[in-house]
Amino acid sequence: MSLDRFIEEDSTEQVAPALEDSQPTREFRALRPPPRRARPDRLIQVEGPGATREISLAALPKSIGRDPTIDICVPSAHVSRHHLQIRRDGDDIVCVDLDSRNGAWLNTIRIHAASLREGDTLQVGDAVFVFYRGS
Amino acid sequence: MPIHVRFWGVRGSIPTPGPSTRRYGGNTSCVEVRTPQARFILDAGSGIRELGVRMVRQTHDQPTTTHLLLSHAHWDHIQGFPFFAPAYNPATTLRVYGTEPGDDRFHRLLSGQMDSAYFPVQFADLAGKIVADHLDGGERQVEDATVSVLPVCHPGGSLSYRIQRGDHGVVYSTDNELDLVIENAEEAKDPSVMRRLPDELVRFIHGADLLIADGQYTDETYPKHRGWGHSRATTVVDLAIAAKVGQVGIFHHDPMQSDAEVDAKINACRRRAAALGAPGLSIFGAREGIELRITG
Repeated sequence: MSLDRFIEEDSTEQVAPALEDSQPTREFRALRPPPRRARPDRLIQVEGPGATREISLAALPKSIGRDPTIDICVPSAHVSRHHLQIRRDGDDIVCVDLDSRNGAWLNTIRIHAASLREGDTLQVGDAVFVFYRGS
Repeated sequence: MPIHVRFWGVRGSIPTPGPSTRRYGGNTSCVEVRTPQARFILDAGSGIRELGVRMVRQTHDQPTTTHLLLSHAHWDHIQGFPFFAPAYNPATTLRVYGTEPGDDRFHRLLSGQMDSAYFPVQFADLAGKIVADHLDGGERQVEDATVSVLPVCHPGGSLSYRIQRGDHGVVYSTDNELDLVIENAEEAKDPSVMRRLPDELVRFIHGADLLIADGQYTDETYPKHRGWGHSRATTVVDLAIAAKVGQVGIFHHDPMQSDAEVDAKINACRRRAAALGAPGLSIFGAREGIELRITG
């Protein structure tokens, strides 16, 4: 048997049968992953006026304060009218105290500014938020 | 006007990036202290790279003067310097401080680590003005702040700094093995006894609003590392109580410690503060990316 004949026979065996319909079968479609829906970075308010609620941080900056026209309003006497801002800094999400009267607390530290990490607790007056990174 | 303190690197010994250190951060020592007129950088560990990126973004090539205070020249305190972008900018003046007139050792050591055997860009090729300066033998007015320095206990030596502006003071005291200088060491083997530290050190720190202090080890890990130049975090608590400081940032975390282990170390410090009758002492684990504002 010549080498050419061997190759010809072998390649014939590997040719897949042609599909009659180019559309995937129902079974194949079922195996496809669902369309990816990215979840944005978010705060969940777990304590204080307005809790419990989830706040998307997809669009930034956003400010927290007592002012009724502010992005995230916390109607509390312990919260300044413009208390804290959440903004993007490169890949980080950062919070910055806006010279509030009662300050901002990250976990147990009174901070002026901080890069937020998954699970961080942010206290603004009597409102408590937990930060979650998006997926 | 307040003093701002920002942590850019809080890890000891070697950078430790990765999922287990994501919260506290893996960069080595670098702290920025800003007064209304001056910017100080305390140590040039790997955290200084990010600080440099921030400075370039903020200054837009405007002339700036920055004051660099190095605790010592072990790798984890200088290794970030070649990556400090403002050093490459002709608009930058960086003053590198020794303690005495003529003491240019840190300037020389920063230069030496950029020898061609270690790094492709030579110190002499940096476009910024990197100037050797000094602290007049221990204390000096630098713009609107008074900077003082104290040698502390570390193999090869290390310097602690106090930056004071008006009534507000910040002390940076890393790479200091407090446990080797406990004056009542025998008595203090009883954990209920307060560890007594040298008066000179207590006076240097006394009344600071913020003490940033080397607390690399836990009580459990320290004995294997005695003599390596770092403290038990719980001994920092005793120092802070004796010096009546406002708050304490435990710093220079062991590269082997995960975020959860740093949490546990800080909780042990808080328990010790409570046991010694100072439950209100504010103690936190220094963490990259946080900025504190020191006000009245």
